[in-house]
Amino acid sequence: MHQDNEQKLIKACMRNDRAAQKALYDHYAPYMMALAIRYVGDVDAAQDVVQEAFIKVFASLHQYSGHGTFAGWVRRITVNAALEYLRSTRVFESLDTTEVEQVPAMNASAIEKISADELMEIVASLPAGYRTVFNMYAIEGYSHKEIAHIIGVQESSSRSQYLRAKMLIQKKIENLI
Amino acid sequence: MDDKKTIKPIQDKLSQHRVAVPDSLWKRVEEALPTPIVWYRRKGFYAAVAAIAGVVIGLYWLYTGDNDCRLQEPAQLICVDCAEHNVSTHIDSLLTTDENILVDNISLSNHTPTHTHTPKRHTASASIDNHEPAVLIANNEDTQAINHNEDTVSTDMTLYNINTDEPLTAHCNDTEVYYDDMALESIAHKCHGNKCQSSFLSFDATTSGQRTVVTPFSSRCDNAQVTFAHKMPFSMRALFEKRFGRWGVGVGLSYTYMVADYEVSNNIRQGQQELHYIGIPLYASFEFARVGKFAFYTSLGGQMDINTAGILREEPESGAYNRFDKLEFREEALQFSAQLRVGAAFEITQHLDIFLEPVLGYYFANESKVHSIWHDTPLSASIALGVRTWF
Repeated sequence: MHQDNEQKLIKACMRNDRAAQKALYDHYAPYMMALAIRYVGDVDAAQDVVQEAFIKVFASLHQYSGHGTFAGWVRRITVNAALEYLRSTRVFESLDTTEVEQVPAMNASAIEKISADELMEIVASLPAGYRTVFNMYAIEGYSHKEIAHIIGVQESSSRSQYLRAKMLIQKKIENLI
Repeated sequence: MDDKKTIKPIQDKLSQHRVAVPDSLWKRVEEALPTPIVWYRRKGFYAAVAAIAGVVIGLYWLYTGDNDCRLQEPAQLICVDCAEHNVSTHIDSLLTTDENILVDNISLSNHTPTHTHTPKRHTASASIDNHEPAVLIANNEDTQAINHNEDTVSTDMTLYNINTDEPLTAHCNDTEVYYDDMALESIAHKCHGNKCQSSFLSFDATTSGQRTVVTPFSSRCDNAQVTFAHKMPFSMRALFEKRFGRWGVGVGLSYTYMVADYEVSNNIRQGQQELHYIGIPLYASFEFARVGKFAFYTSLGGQMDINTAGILREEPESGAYNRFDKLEFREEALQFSAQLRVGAAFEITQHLDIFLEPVLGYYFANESKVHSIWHDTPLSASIALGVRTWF
């Protein structure tokens, strides 16, 4: 969406213009849905997360300062909504903190052979702790220190969860191919 | 590095990945959103409400006119000077009628006291003193010269309320008697021993040389009046508001400055009163419409104002017997009020609005004797103009 059009749409949404809100929803809902499925692993739960995220987006539009892209701002709200949902299910309270040896690098060519939908399903099928850390580190770009602070675990736990996630993803990709 | 190389394809595939969204999801989101107001359908309604509010406020403003406060009670005059007297109980007789107290025709030359007494003067508090009208009743002794063998004598005069005949004990003690110097002016110019109707009596005792003279029955022939002409008060407010969708709750700090010109008894005493207040407002607001860059809202709340300073400045032309330049006071009674506001805000930038608010306020009665515009005109209408920002 062109930036000027997006700004007009945002202002109209702030005036509670329903048509503008629908247009913004139509543009961002598919991205947010894919993100939510990757985090919570379940389509029904992902719909709840997306609903919560959109309510927060429309209620907080006046707080969007224009720094950074609007898509990035919406993305952060969706990630926070997903993490809030996961916290409510207490998945972070029982993460396996055993150290893991370094795993071999993933096969990049194998990743190229599978579709985005398949990759999303593979990530969504991981245990909650693995997929949360994997999404936050590999996709969103958080550091392990930041991840540890956000979800309330040790930094070493974040690293070990990530390595386990990588191992499992690699295995599932190989099985798929 | 190796990890980043393998992660990059995953990032590229998933960061912009989309999936189909069920139709029912929008309905769920929509149900949770605030109901939009279709402005064009209610334009007429809001215009009518605004017009009615404007007519009501305008009529009220015209009806109340100036804010003079006219007081008929001489008890509300400012008593700023009191004399300490020692007076004799041997006062002259008086002639009474059914309705009035006569001034006794005492001639100063008939008295030959035997000692000297100099009255002391001191300044009373500058707040408006609540004297009760009083009358001095003699003990019906004959008019005689007053002779004193001691330097000081105490008075056992009894003061009675002219209307109820009940004795007054509140403002007189053995050695002090308070008098109103307005009465002196009236005495000098208007009532020369004639029968006068009055609602207030004062008495005066003076000494000069070797004589102690008592002229106990002085009267005022007309009711004293105090007029306050209030100017429009000036207020500033700084508010912090927390919004919950269309609703908001706010608290803040305000400062109010008031000026009034006062005049006592046909310009005998005149001056200016300044009042300073610090207030704490608390309110709830609701935004009921948005049209383009305009937002319309209403708020209802209360405020507690604390008087931090009061100053009376008397005009040099004041004809009072003993005028003062400046008196400072502070009213301790708190002032509570309720306020209804209807406002319109215009968005200047993304985080800055300018707003205009007609305000209807009611100031509750308190124990204050200070004549502020709030005290004299409890129901008031005003307009507030300001800027607001949010974060």
